[in-house]
Amino acid sequence: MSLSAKSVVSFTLNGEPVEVMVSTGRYLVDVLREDLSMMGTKRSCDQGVCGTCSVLLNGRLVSSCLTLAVRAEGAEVTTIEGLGSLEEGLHPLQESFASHGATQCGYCTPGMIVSAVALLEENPDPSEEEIKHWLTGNLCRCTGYQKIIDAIRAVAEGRTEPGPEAEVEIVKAYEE
Amino acid sequence: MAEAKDMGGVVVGENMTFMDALEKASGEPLYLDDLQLPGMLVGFALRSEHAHAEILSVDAEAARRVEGVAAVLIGADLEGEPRLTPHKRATPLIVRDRVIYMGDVVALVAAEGPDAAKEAMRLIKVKYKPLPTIDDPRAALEKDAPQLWPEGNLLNHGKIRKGDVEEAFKTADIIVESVYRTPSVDHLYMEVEAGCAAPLPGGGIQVWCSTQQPFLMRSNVARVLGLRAESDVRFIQTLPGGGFGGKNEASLDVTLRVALLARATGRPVKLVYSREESLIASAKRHSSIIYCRTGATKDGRLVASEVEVYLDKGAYAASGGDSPPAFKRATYHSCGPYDVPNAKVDVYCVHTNNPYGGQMRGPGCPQVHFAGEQQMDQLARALDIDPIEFRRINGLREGSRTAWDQRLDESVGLLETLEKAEAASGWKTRNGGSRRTADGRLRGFGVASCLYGTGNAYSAAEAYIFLTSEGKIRIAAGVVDFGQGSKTVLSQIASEVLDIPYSEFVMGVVDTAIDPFGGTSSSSRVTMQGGKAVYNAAFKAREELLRLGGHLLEVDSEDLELSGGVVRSKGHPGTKVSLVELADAFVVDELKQIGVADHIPPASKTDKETGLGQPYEVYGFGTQIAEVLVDPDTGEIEVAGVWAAHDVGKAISPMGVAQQIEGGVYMGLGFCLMEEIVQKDGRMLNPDMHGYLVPTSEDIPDALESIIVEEPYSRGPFGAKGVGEQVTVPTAAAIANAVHDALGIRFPELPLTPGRVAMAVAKAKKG
Repeated sequence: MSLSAKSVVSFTLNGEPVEVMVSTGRYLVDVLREDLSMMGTKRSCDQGVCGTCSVLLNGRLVSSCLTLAVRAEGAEVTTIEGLGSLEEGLHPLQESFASHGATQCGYCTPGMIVSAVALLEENPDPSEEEIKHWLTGNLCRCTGYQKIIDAIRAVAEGRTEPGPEAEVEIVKAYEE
Repeated sequence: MAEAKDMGGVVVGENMTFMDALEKASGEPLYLDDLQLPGMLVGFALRSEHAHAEILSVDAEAARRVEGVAAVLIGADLEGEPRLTPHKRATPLIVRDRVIYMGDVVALVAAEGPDAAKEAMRLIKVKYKPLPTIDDPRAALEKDAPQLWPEGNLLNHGKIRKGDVEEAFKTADIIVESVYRTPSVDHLYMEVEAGCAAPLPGGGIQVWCSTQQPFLMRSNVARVLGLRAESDVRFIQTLPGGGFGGKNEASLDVTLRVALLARATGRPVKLVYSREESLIASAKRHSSIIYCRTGATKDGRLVASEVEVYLDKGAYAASGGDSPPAFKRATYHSCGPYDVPNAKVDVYCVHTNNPYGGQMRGPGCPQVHFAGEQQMDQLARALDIDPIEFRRINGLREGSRTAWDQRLDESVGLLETLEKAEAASGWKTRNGGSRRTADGRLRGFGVASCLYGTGNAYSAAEAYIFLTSEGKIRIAAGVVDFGQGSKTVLSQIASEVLDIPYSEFVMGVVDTAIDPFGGTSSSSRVTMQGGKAVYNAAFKAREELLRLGGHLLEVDSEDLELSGGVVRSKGHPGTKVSLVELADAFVVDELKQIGVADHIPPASKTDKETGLGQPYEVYGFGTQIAEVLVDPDTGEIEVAGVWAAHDVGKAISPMGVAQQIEGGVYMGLGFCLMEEIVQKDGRMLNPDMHGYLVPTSEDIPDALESIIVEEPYSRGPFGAKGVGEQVTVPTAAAIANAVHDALGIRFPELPLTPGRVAMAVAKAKKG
């Protein structure tokens, strides 16, 4: 089949049925963003390394920049928009990322949170080591990852607010 | 005005959830590539096929005929050869005669969609005559090197001449000489460079870009298009998906090119570089070659330091012109945070056919600290003095004079950072432990300190404070929040001064139609300088709110006070008016300005011949201790722990400072262990994320402890002096010193890849 041949793809996006006409060679990330205006899924490396385009396909974590849109036929696709919204309420992971300071520039955040959802689905109580291992497919250039890891651990423990691990020693030289 | 020792305490110093954090976690905010305007075209740039070549001809006729192509611009279509900045060695927006790096653009295309644009690019015929390339900054200074510029390859030579190093070396008991090399590295912000421009009726233009420096975009768009900045160009910043210094020059590059396309087509155009283009074309951390000669006496006192630095400027001069930030910073940071009585420093900034060196988190400083802090380690070991003690003996303190003869009168927290990092890491006891772990790896500890000049010379800032129609307080300070949290921090400062709850503050992106000039979000200056302008404006806003309150309550404003966000009578607390009531009465349209002020920091003053003087108004200080586990067979290094103590003057948001420390250590760790733009003859061999490695979540230390030291600075708001860059400066040196501690092998060249380490171990075994 030629890459420019078109076909209709029907799938469930964040719980809603959608139908789009796509060229066989197009990737899911482009169809989500350009045809369906789901801008929460970001592009960055375009080669499946960085994880900013992470979405769930039938509950499995995939890089939508490496997934052909036709692969979504009949599937359930979940993007960051499907997890929660400012208007209707956020997912605990979204709240936890915010309160832990796990978002800086925010560009990796949607992919990172989608990835974390997949992790907790598979392993509801991951250790710090397991979280670190899982997140190697999601790059962040701002945070150094620690606050992201803490935010995910918190949700696994049933909370969204930072615990004592977030305390920082402050030496007030002017009071000495 | 508050005294220096007014350190806040109500909102300042508290951890507020960042103003835009929930929004970012929702995935809802739009970045540049998410913008969709009616009738918008997509832009593409055709890059050079050679790192150095004469352009013999460009034929774009066939490309122009492609259906769906709205414009093809080549060098000959533009008047003159417009450049990134007014500097004569700045990057041409479209090269006409001679390309000098692979990132050079030879044509710009705007089309209805990417397919048409790519077809047009394929049809543009460029004939080149390849020329010899030069990719080493030291070799580029030799007479027979290919000359990239008529005046030669040297952009600038910076100097410090203090005392007499030759005489001083005669008094030294020990002299250490070494040569260090650091590679070119990329910011690798997750969001690539992206810009959008739309013509306005009447000849003006509206421009959006992901940038750290909005007003630089506006003034240069005006220059290139022949427009008046203040009336004809409106610039609206979009959220930057990372910057780290890179979204100064690289943002200008994409903004100016998209503006050319919008003008040529009369339609909105979006230009988003590919990741490969971003790597090949954008600014890099300058690679460096650093020669050091450092002498000390038996009792551990430094007597002289001689440093010669060659910075790879790459093809073009970028922001800063003749004196780019990395050049100036390399000059003034190469003697480290120490009392060096005799200093001779020479920094050469040299053009090559590589991507241009630009600003990257602490420009010039991780390089010279990688060298200088290993020199300190070598001296301490040779003299059998504990490396922390050695730094304590020589460290700058209040009243010290720096190697460039600047007297430091206040806010010098170096010794405190040494003490706290030492205590937190358990340096003394750990150093006595066993070197070999159960799995056969070798353990080592290393320390490195740093200083960091905060702010730039041209760092004046202005701030407006508005009352909104909803009775909220909005700050407009003209500075970009690219994730470091400046919206939160600036609002905390104003909240503290005004005694209006933090929850009443709102802030948007920078829009030149609303914001005053605030300067760039770089050089760790936003809190200290933008924040001081906000601090000053908040006092004006208080006066104004009291005046408005007096008007509404029909009492003298002298008898009113502002507390808890309410204007009330001092004598009759029941007589009061809320911000919402004030807004209802006085905000006719959306915003009413209630405060405006600026902050003009002291000028940078240095002697042209000797370099002595005051290059920066104040310095941040830090100490990091690293613990490593090295596998001597595979050469793999695990950074097990980093204890990082940084003097930031005052932490307006301790969580924000911790974020910076964690992110800075992460970036320093990448610089040390893996990051490297590999290039040969001006060609990049790893222009993608498979080839350009950065640390993942598994590479960060298991133990990372941030310690905040507060030595207040009287000119900063509530004593604050900035944090964003110093945190990445000492990391590579601390790790390299720890690796030496583990293996007994000194690594003068970055990155410390497993291959390099294993080879060195094998070589050492052979003896």
